[in-house]
Amino acid sequence: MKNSDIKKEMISKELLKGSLKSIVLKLLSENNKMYGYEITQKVEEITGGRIKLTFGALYPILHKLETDGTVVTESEIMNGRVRIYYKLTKTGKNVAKEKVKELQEFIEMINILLKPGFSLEICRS
Amino acid sequence: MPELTNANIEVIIREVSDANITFSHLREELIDHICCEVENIMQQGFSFQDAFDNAKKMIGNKGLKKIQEDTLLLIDKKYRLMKKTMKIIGWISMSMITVGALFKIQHWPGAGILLVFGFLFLGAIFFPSALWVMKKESKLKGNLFIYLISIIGGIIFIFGILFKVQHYPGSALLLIIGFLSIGLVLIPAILISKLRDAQTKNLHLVYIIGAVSLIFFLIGVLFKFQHWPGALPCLIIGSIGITTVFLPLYTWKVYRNSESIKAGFLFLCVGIVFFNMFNLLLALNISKNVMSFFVIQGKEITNTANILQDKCNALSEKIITDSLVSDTLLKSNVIKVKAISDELYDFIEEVKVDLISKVDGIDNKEAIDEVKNTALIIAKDNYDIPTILLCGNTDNGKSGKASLIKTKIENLKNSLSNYCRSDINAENIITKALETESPVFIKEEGRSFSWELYNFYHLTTISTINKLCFFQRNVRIAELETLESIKSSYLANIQKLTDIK
Repeated sequence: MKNSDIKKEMISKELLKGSLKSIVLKLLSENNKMYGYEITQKVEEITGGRIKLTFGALYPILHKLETDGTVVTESEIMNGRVRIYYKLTKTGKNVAKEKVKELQEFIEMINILLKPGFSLEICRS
Repeated sequence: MPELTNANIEVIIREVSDANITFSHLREELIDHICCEVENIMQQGFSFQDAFDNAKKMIGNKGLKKIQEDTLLLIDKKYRLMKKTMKIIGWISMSMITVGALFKIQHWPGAGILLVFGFLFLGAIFFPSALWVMKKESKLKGNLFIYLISIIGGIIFIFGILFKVQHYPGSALLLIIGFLSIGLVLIPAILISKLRDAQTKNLHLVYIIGAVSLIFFLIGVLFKFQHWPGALPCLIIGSIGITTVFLPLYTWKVYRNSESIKAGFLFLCVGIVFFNMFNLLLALNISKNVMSFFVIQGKEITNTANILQDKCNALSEKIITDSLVSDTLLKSNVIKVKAISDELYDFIEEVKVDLISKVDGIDNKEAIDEVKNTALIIAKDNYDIPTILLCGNTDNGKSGKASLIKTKIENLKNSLSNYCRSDINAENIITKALETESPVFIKEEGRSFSWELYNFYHLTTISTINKLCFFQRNVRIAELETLESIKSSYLANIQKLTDIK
């Protein structure tokens, strides 16, 4: 891994902040159950290291989702330590769908906004 | 994938435990997360220690604690509110107390209000909310008892300090209850819960030494405040125990494992310096020798006053009973001068008796004995009761007896001056002896000291008594000067009459 290269291309935390919840929910909806470290690894793997979830950002969100009833946890003993798995609840699955949809719509809007010369089009119509 | 040994996991568990993570299953998760990270790094060929150091760098200083805080902030609305309240009110009350203390030192108006509200916010809002947040973050091992005692004892203690600073009555009782609840209930309770948690036997001893010295120290401070005997040995044992035994042992135990100097260590060092300074100032006991010096000084002033009184009496007696003096106006003037002078003298004497009976908690009869022999006064170095009696509760010091004394001195000065109108010399001496202006240097320093504060603020009992003796002596000086002036003007008149004849 070339750390210096990755750092330059990493997506900024500011941009990531608002969509973190949706990303976590998306991952959980595609996997039966996941634990914290696994989520960070998965995100890194899929994005080729360009998005890195720090555990400082991840765990508060996981706990928030748990108190909201979107996910449930189960614990397993693994290699001499306890591992906490997160799993979407029934309502959680709907929430995940909504959140992902919301994020997609947001991205589309951003795309339109970033299209060169869009302001001219609006003026004409 | 290299697997961690149990010993490795133990190291990581200790790291997380040090951060005191208590919220839900966050602790287990963080342990697991760090283990995974370490395993991941070890896979690239690093040793456990290197991998662990690397992972610690990723966490950063206080990183674990921060996660718990962020989690609580995100989940718990009440926590968010409390934390905000704590920070804002804490800042406001601390700055109010600091500014109030500055005002108090400079005797600017408004010091009292600032201090009262500062302490009120501190005791009634900041302190409970801070404890609530602490409880939420560390759960205090579910020990409701410690929590309750620290809230009640702490609030009582904070208000005790406020009452002491403002010289309100009842500060002694509040401070005693506050000290006792902190020293004899809270500290042992914390000690017990610490002992339960401590990992090694060595640490037990350190905690016990710390707790015992702290209790000694608190008792010393309490005794000092209350002027009970035995404060000094307690303070010495307490501070020696804390600074030379407990703190070095504790810092060695806690900080020896960390390579870099932590901010906490620096704070601790500064804290020790301040603690010792406070301690030394408090332990700086006013020795018995100094007290007996004040007693002797007071006696000398009283002796002078008595000699002057004898002279006055002899002189007025002579004028009144002299059969050659036929001027009745002159005789009645002499009697008046004596009467008004005696009136002020006696008023000051009453203030002295009142003060001593309040300070030592005795009746007037016993107090009169102690006025005669000031060596008998017990609370010679108390300055709360004298200040409240003489200066009152207001910032300008004009709501106590000192104001009455000042008015009476001014009245006497005017009356006596009237009796020796033509005699500038005598008038000068009377004005000087019965001066009621604050000294010039205070105005030059730009401070607004009233006469009352200048003379009586924060004076110990024995100094206050001496000050009052000093004013009594000055009354006699003025009286004698007036009588002499009356006599010499009468003689001059007679001389003129004989010259004419």
